[in-house]
Amino acid sequence: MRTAHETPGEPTPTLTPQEWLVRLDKVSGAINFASRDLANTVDLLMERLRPTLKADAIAVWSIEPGTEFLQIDAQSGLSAQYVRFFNQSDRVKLGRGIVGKAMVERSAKTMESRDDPHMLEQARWREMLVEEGVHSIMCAPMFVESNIVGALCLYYRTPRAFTEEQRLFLQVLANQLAVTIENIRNYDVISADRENLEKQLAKLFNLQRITELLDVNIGTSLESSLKALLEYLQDSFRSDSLAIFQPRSDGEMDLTVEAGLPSVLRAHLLAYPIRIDDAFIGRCFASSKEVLTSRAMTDERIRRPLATALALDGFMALGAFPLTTKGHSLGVLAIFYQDIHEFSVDEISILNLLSQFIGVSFENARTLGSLVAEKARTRAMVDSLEDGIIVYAASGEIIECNPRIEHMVGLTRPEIIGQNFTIEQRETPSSSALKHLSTILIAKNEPKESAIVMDGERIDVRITQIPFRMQETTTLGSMRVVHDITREKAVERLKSNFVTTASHQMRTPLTAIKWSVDLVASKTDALDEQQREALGMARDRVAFMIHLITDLLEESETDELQKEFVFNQEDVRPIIARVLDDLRAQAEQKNLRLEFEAPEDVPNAVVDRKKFDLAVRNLVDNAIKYTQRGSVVVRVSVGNVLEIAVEDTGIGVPRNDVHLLFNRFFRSGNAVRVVTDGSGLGLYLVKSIVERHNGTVSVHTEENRGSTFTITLPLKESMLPVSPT
Amino acid sequence: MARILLAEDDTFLASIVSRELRSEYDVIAVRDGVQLFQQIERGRPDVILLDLIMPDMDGFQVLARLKKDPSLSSIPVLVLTNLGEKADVARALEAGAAEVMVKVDFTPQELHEKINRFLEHMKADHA
Repeated sequence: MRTAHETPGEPTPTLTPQEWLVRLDKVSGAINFASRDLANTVDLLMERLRPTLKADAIAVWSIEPGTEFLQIDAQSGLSAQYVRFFNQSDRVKLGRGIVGKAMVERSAKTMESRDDPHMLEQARWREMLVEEGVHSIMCAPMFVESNIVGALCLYYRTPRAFTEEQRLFLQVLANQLAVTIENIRNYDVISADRENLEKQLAKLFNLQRITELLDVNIGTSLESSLKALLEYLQDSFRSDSLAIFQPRSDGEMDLTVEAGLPSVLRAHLLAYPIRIDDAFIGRCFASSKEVLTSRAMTDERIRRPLATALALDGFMALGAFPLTTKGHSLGVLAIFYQDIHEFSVDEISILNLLSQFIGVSFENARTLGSLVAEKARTRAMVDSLEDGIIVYAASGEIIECNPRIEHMVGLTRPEIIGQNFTIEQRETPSSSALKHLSTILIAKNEPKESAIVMDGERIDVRITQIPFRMQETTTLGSMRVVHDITREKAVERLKSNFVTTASHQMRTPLTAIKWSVDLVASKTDALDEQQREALGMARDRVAFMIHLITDLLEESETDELQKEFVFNQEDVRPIIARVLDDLRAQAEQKNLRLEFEAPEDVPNAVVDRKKFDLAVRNLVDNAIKYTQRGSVVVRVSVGNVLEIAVEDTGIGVPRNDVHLLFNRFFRSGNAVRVVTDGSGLGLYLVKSIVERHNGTVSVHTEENRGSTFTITLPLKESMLPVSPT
Repeated sequence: MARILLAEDDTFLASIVSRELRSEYDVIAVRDGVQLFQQIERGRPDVILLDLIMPDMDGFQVLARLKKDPSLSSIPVLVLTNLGEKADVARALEAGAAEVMVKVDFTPQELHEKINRFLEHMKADHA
């Protein structure tokens, strides 16, 4: 499978049920019914079916008459060697392998990879598949009436995942094929059978329509979909009423959805609820098998009251089909006919299939409910992220993005979703930023710095590529996280302009002076008293100037503080998380554990995001700097105030220095020893910022054990800070 | 005698450092990164004293190139600079410098002593 950044390969061979039906229709039309040569016709059929079903190979298996062995009767796409192997060298017994199992268990089987021991019982078979290049197989049994006549297998040369719908459809397809082959055998009644085939095709089209109706998404409710479905079925099956019953916990069955039910019958069903395992419908539920009657009035299985009710409304035939999922019953689909009605085999099989679909939909709806909630939550999180997120399907198509990306590339979400830069696309000027973000080569685990231009403005970004994988080999898609680093970069550039220039330009001549003075002073024996004194003064003045520059440069840092504070209600957790993300590499370099603990529910605090970031950043940076081994843990706790604690296992602060710690330019002795060139401004900055937030900062520390710096922020309304007007 | 390769574009400062170290070491002075690599080809130094701000190829570019070349990455580099900000020091260390010394904080003699100690340490490590 492709990610968004490899060259396009084969199109993915997934077909929707609708597409399968259309293809079957095409194929059926092309079959030469007049041919008397069964074998050739079936081979031809295989050949036609294979490309339209987008399988790499297709085969019809049957049971060798008089034996228990299976054989390949017709195929397209398999090598002669493969056919010979299974037809002569290594015969498959009924019940073994995927084909044998499908036939015996009477349901479609799938094998998604060659590592499936259940399906591939013999090592030799696996070897054969390897040689043939086959990875995945789907196999459905072929019935005529209720007799197994063979199995239809689809082979894929790339690993595939099969959906429930595809399995069920292959089942239907296999049955169609069985009937078709049977028809071909009896070619002298071809025209009648053709009509039959067309009728069945019509029913298959119905199934496709039904699938559409059952396509429950977040917007619709299952109930309204089912109602529409039942009404549609009423029409296509020409039944008079349909109803779905579901069990309640007290053992009775609820009438969940109905269509066309006359009021008397409805009233009866509501007044005399059907019990699970009792009566017609209940028994259907309990046994998970269909229960049918063509003469409701006289059928002993129906309880008298219901029979009477049915008779009153003129219902003669009743069919109950279990809604199952994974083998157990979820409910019953009941279909009522007012005229005498014999349920045909086709109707039964289609209604059974239908019931399975509905069962699966119920199951999905249940999961969907919790998924919807989860999705909403995730959506909210993703939407509020400061980073842009773009999600790509394996085909390279963009399937999701968040508002930040819309902002970054200047397109709306509907404009972004669906674009695929791995295939030839008309490039519009407005999508060039998106194209760049999508096509730039990024190695796994190596975020890439780059830039995009939006409205003439440059945005510096750091992009991380995250693939989604299924098993080891199949890539489902990938995600790109786009982190805006414009400010970081601008600051870097600014720095290298002013501060660098300033410090460098000022220090350079001072160094020259200092060294010159030093040079002369080293030759003190050649100097008299006055000269030595003058030199001493020069040295002092130079030292003073050097100090002055340092102070001046640090002043410009603290000048930041005078700039306006802008307060907003914010969740502090993402701000802290971002600081930790930025400093993680630093911590890892020193082998320090860096952790963040925060409770589930944290009320928003009123903060100036940038300044608060700076304060936290200073504390965490210090913690990492002054810790040689162990950990740095940031903890958020909620009480009357919001507490953010930064706890390290570092050098600590000597007791005598603690009260001086937050003073401007103060650096305690042990800190200087570890990091010689600190400015002493960090904690002063933190204190200023926190106090401006109406909060406090404090420290608990023990020398050589570690320190915990705690910021508190007010939560009570009366205590909150306000922005200057 | 250990060979020191000094890269410094300020000729006055370069001459003072050279004069100070020449008593003990074989000192070769160059003015930028390009000349530095030319010198390395002529003879591998035992230690490089590297200024950061230089024309044509600055100290950071030199560090990057040294790091990338496996035959050169083992040469220790002492950065001598007047860029004293924490970020700059960190950046130089990250780029591969063994140590960063801010020129204005030392006298040439102190620098000499530091280099001596550094080279002794190196010898001890390799012993």
